[in-house]
Amino acid sequence: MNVKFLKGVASLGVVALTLTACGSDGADDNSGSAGGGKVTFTAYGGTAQEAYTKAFVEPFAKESGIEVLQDSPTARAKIVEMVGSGNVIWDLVQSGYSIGVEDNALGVLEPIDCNVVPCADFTDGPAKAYKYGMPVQTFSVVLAYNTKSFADNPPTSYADFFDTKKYPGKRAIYTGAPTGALNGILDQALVNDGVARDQLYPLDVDRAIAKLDSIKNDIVFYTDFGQCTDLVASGEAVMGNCYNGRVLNAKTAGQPIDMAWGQQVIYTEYLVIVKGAPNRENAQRLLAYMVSKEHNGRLAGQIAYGPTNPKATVDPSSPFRSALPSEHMLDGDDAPLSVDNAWWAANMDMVGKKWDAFVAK
Amino acid sequence: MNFWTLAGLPGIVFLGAVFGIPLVLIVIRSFTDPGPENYLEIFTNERYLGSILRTVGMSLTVTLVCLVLAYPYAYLMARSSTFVKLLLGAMLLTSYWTSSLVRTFAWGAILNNTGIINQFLQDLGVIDQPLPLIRNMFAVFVGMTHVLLPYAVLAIYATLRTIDVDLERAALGMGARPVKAFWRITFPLSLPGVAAGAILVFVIGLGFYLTPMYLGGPGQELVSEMVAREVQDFLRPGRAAALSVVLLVFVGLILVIATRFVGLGAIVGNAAIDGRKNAAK
Repeated sequence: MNVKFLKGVASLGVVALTLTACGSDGADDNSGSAGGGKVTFTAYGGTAQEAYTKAFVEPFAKESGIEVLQDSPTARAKIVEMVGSGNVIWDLVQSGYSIGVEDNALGVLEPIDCNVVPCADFTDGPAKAYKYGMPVQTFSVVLAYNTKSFADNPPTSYADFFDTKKYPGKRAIYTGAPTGALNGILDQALVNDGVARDQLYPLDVDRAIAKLDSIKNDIVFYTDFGQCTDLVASGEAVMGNCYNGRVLNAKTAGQPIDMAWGQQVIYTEYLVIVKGAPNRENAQRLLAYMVSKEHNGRLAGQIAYGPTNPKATVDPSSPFRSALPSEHMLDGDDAPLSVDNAWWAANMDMVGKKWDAFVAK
Repeated sequence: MNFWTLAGLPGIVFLGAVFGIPLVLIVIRSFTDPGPENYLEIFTNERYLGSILRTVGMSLTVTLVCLVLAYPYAYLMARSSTFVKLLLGAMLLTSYWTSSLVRTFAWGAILNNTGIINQFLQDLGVIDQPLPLIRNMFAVFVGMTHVLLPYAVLAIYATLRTIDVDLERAALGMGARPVKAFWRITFPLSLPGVAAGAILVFVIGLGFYLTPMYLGGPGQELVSEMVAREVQDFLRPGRAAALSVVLLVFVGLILVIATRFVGLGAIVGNAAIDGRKNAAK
């Protein structure tokens, strides 16, 4: 191998890099002229994205003439890398709060254009419209239980989750990095340890972990949301903190699993637009379509995830209606909980360290 | 440029583009995003140190057990009739070619509290509570051994089949007992294959991700899982890069040390040639 040859390899590398750069320039040319073009929508994949496709994407594409491309799954790391490298291929993304819907802390989002998006509809609703993200759906973490284990006297609330005498058996609990606020298990632990609901935040993490430590021998940790219903339906665990939509799917598929709604933790999912997205105008339009009062309720016709627009309506005949979080707003001790996202964003590292130590112990 | 340089060019450019350049970028990033303190954090935080030690310990254990299991298997394969050889080979390759994802999930079904083993033992009344077979290091060990065993067998077999049976026969003819003939003649000649198998299993084991993720317990992450968590959950690609570089340097050191004892060719699968070379010495 000689110097000339090495030079040749190096220049080939340069050519390759130049080609890649041209590719990303090319994508910019597609940016949305109204009434055409395209837009890329990214969600988490699976049955939820199929529901989005039927409820929103297909009708939108038909009505607007805009071609909607789809990708999955949403990954914060990917968005950060895209923006950092200036090679953005996603436009509209379904994401959790932690991407920065309120303060754009990661600096990767475009502001929502309230001239296009009906932000005003949300003013008095439970789910707030933020500068960088619009709420699009609600879902909740429910108490999933194995119907064979508790045929006669099924649990009804997270109070039963912590009662291992009355309801013996393993509990499946989500672990992993607390980006999902640990699915609210710390909040539930504190409420069942006697902390008043209006005094939950700032969370007493040590006390919550001590409560969980008291049932540690009965905990089975899982790291992937799909594992939850598997663990419960198979009997590996008798209860778990699973997502309502997934429990309903498993139940409909004939698995021995059902859910209780006492102290459900209600979460909101958001739509965000990636900074420098090649088709951001079309992304604003698709976003507006999904959260508008005319369309937002359609998702619940496809999957058990509820609307966020207070003016949206759900088709009464939807088979998923009975499993929507909003249909099970219990009172008193069994009322729904919701995590304080801003507190979690500020304390994630602290909780993460304590939680990891607890799990590993 | 001669013919072979030309013919090798597409491969070189391909590897350079998809592996070489990204690798350089990762190394740079590990020092610059946010800075070299990535390494300080790794070497002072017990979570990272713990996962590195766990990964090395697990890989070593799996390697030792794989060698003990693989050697007799490879020996049988090398010295049996064609029929037995085919049978053993088919069993090995069927396992080898089955997706490691499938094999890992299968182990889940076997080792679960409600899995085959525990259910069977409970039905028999041998145990009341399920044995702790899943979501711990034991499960990871079993799963990794299953997936990696074929590498050890194939590496050892490749060497054993090149060892001339007449050498052993000569030893027997001169009065050595079979056990002695094996330990004095065959075994030393097969060592390059053993080393190749050991290094293959050890190095591949260091990077295992899926099996420990699915079969392992919480708080017992291996390095690969830590890398994934740093990228996906904590958004610290620089630290993930540093962890990867530490692992890579470690693998590099192992290979450097190993090549002092066996040729690099033996490690990358040319065990047969090296074995013959050594036999000729």
